[in-house]
Amino acid sequence: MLKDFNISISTENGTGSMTANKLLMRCLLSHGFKANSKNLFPSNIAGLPTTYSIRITDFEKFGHSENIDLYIGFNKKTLLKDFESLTPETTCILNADFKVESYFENTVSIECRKNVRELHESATTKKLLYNMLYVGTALKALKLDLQKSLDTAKIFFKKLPEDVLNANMKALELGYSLYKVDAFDVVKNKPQKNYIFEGNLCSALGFLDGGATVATWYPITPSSSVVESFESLNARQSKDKSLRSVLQCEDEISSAVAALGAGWSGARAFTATSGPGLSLMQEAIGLGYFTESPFVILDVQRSGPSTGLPTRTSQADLVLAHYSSHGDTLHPVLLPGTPQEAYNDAFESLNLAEQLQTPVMVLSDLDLGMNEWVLNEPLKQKEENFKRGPVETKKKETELFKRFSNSSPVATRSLPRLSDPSLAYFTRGSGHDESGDYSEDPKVYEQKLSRLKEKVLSSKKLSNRPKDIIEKNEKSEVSIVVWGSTGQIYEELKNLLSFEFSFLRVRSLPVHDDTFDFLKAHKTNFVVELNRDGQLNQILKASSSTSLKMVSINQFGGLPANAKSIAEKIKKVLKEVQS
Amino acid sequence: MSKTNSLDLFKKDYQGAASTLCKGCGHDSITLNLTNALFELSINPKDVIKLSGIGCSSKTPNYFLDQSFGFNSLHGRMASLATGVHLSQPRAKLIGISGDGDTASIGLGGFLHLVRRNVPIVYVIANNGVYGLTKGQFSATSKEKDSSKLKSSQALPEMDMLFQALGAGCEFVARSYSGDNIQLKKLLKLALSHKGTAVIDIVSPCVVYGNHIGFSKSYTNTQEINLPLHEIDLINEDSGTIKKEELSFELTPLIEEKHDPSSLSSALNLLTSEKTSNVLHTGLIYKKESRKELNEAYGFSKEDKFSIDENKLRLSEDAFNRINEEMSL
Repeated sequence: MLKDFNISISTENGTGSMTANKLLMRCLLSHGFKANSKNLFPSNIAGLPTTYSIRITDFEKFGHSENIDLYIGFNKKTLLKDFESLTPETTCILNADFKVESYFENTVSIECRKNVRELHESATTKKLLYNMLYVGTALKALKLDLQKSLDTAKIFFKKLPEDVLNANMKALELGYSLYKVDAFDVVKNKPQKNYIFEGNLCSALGFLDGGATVATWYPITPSSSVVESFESLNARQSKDKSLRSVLQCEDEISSAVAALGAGWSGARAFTATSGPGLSLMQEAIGLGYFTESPFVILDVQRSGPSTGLPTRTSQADLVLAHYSSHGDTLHPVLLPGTPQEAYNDAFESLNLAEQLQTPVMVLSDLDLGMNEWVLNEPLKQKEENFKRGPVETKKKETELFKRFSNSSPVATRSLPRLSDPSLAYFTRGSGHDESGDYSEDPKVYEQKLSRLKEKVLSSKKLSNRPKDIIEKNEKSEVSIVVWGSTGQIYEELKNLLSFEFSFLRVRSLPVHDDTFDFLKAHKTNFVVELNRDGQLNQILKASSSTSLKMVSINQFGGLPANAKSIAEKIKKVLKEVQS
Repeated sequence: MSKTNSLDLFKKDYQGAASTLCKGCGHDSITLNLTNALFELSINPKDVIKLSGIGCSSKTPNYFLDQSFGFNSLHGRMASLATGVHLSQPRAKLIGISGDGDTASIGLGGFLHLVRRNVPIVYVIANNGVYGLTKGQFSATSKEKDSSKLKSSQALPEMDMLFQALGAGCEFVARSYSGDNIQLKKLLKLALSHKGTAVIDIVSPCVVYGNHIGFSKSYTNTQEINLPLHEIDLINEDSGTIKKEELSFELTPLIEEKHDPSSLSSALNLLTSEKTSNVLHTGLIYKKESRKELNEAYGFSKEDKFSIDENKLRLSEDAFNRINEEMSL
C-alpha cells in the first residue's frame, strides 16, 4: 500500500487540461483518497508548459512534493526534459501521436488522434477529448471505479451540451480501457464529503460578509480573482448588490488612493493586489497611516522582485507590508494560512482597520489563493458584529474636538457629511497637530509619530486580531516557526524529523508578547519561509527586546513549501551545531 | 448687519483659514471667487468635501469653507482620492483644487480617468505654468519658448488640459483667468451646478516664478492675450440649496467668429486655433447635459456607505450555506 503517491501532468497551457485535471482530482476525492493539487502554470495565455501535480498521502494536511510516481506527458515540447526528472520506476501515460519513444518500462501510449476520431464532429471538441483520454487512463492506474467516476464527471460537466458530454464520457471510458500495465494500490479512506476552496474566493467571501462596501483594484496575477469573486458573489448572494461599489482603476496607485478616500469618508474599503501593486501603493499607505484613514490591502504574494515569476508563489513581501512607505511607519499584517483563515482575516481586517484607523495588510500567497484546497468541513461563518471604532457625529458642547487627540492611542474620528460641521477637520499628509492644523513643531511631530506606533502596537490587545498558533513541546528545546500557507507542511515535518519539536505559526504582526516568550524558551528556533532572506526572522529579531536564537530555513524558487527538502535543511543545520 | 443667504448663513461661514500663499498669488483670487460663488448659490457647507493634491494650489482648500471636511492628499492623486470619496459618499458635493504640475504631469492618468468616469466634481486647475513650491521649474502647461526664472527656455509645446479633458469625454470645460473676477465667479457657479465632472482651467499667475517678461502666464501677458468669448448671464440664479436643475445661462458673444459651446467640434477648433495664435480664449468652452455619473453608470446605490445597516451587508446564513454547498463534493 503506497502512502505517498504523486501524479504529475504535463500539458500545454490553454488546451483545456486544467478542467480535466480538476475532474481527476474530484474522482480521487470521491473515492476517499486524501489528495491535494498544485497547478504550476506559466505566465501566458496559451502554448507554454503547465504542470499540474496531484499528491495523495495519509496525512491530514501536506505540502508539495517533487517525486513523481505517475507521469502524464501530453506536452511534446517538455517530454524529454520531463523524462530527466523521472525514476526508472515511474509509470508513464504518453500521447503516442508525439512519436517519442519512452524508455520507461511501464508506459501506456495513447493514440489520441485515432481514438477520438469517431467521438465528435467538431475538431475543437476532439482536441479537448485528448484530456479525457489521459484522465480515464489515470483512473484505471489508481484502480478507481469506472461507473463512480463517470457519475462524478456527469455532475462536474453538468453545463455541457449533451453531445459534448457524451463524447467526454466515451473518451473517459476509452482511456480507462487503455491502461494495460500494473495498477497502483494507494492509501485511501472511507469517502467523505469534501469542500474545495481557492483562498482568493475565501478572501472575497470574508470581505463580502465583513461588510466591505467599496472595492477598488487593478488586474494582476495572482490576485485578480479576489475582486472578481467579490463581484460575482455580491451579485448572486448578497441581500442588495447595489450597496457595494466595485471599481477597476487605472493603476494600483489609484486603487489604493481611492480605497483610502472611501475609508476616510466612512466606507469599509479594500483593494487586492500582488507585489508589483504593493510597490506602487507605498506612498498611499504612508498617507493612510499618517492621516489615520482606514482601508485594507490584500496582497496575494507572487515571486519577485520586479515581474519575477508572476505565476509562482512566494512569501517575500512581509517586510514591505509591515513597514510600507518612506518615513517611520508600522502596519498591522494578518497572515492567513488556510481557506478558513483567508475568510476570517478578510473579515477581521475590515474591523481592525476601523478600530485602529489605519491601513491593514493581509498577506496571502499564490499557493493559498489560486490552488484548490480540500477541506473536510464547510467554511464557518463569523457571528460577531462589525467593529467600527470610535466615531463622533454630534456637536460637543463643552470641549473642542481634536481629531488627532493624543490622549489615547486611537482618537475619535468624525466623518464628512455625517458629522456636525463643528467636527469638520482638514486632513493633510503634512505635519499637523492634534486638531489637524499644520505644524512643523518638532515636539508635535514626535508626539504624533509616537502615538501612531503605540496605536499599532496596541492592536495586540484586540481580541479579534488573529492569535498565533502555538504548540509547545515541553520536552524539546527546538522550535519550528512558519507563517501563511507554509503551515501546510507541519504534519509532514513531524513525520520526517526524528526529534520532537515545538511549533509556532505566526498569524499576525506586530508580534504578540507570548510569542516572544515562546521563542525565548527555545534554544533553537528554525524559521521556515518561502523567501531568500528570512523576513519573518528579521522582524522577530528586530522587534524582540532580548536576543533570540534563530535560524532561517529558506525556499524561494517559486514552488509551494516542500517538507522533504526543508526537513533536510533543518537536519543539516542541527548536525553542524552538534559537531 | 451682514447679509445672509437662503440657508441663513453668513459669508464668513464660507471662509477658511488665512492664506499663507505669496501676496498677489492668483490662487487667492480663485479662493475668493469660489467662496463667493458657494455663498451666493447657498450651497450647504456640510454637503461639500474639499480635495486637493500637493502644490501651492493644493493648499487653498484650507482657505475656504472651514466647516467642510477637506483632504490635502498626495501629489497627483486628487482625482483618485475624489473617486474613492464619491463611491463612499455619492451625494457629497466635491470640490477639487489642483495645479498644473499636479494635473498635467504626475496626475495626468488619474485626471483623465476621473473625467472618463464622470465623477461629479468641480475640478479646478489653478494653472500658472511653473512649480512654485520647488522654486520655478517649468510645468507641462508652460508655453514653448517661455523662459524660466532660471533663464532656461521651454523646448516643448504646451500641454492643454482642456484638450485632454475633451478627449476623455468631459462635458463641462471652461477657462478663465484669476484676474477676471466677474467671469471667474460666473463660470465657477456654472461648474458647481453641473451634474458630472466640470473642469475649469484658470490661468493664475505665480508672482514669484512666473510673472516675468518672457513668461506667457504672467499677469501682464495674460491680461494682454485674454480674449473673453462671451458675456455670461446666469438666469435662474436665485437662492436655495443645490438645485435639482442646473443653472440656466445666456451667452452674448464678444468675438467675431461665433463659438458654440454645445458643439464639441467648435470647442476643439477653438482650442486648436490657440496653438497658432497668441490668444487665450476664456469663457465656457464646452457644455452639454451630463451623461450618467460614475455611481449611476454602474448602478451603485446612492446611500452613503457608512450609514448602511450591518444587517443589510451580512450574508444570510442561507447564502453562506449555499456557497459551501456549491463548493462541496
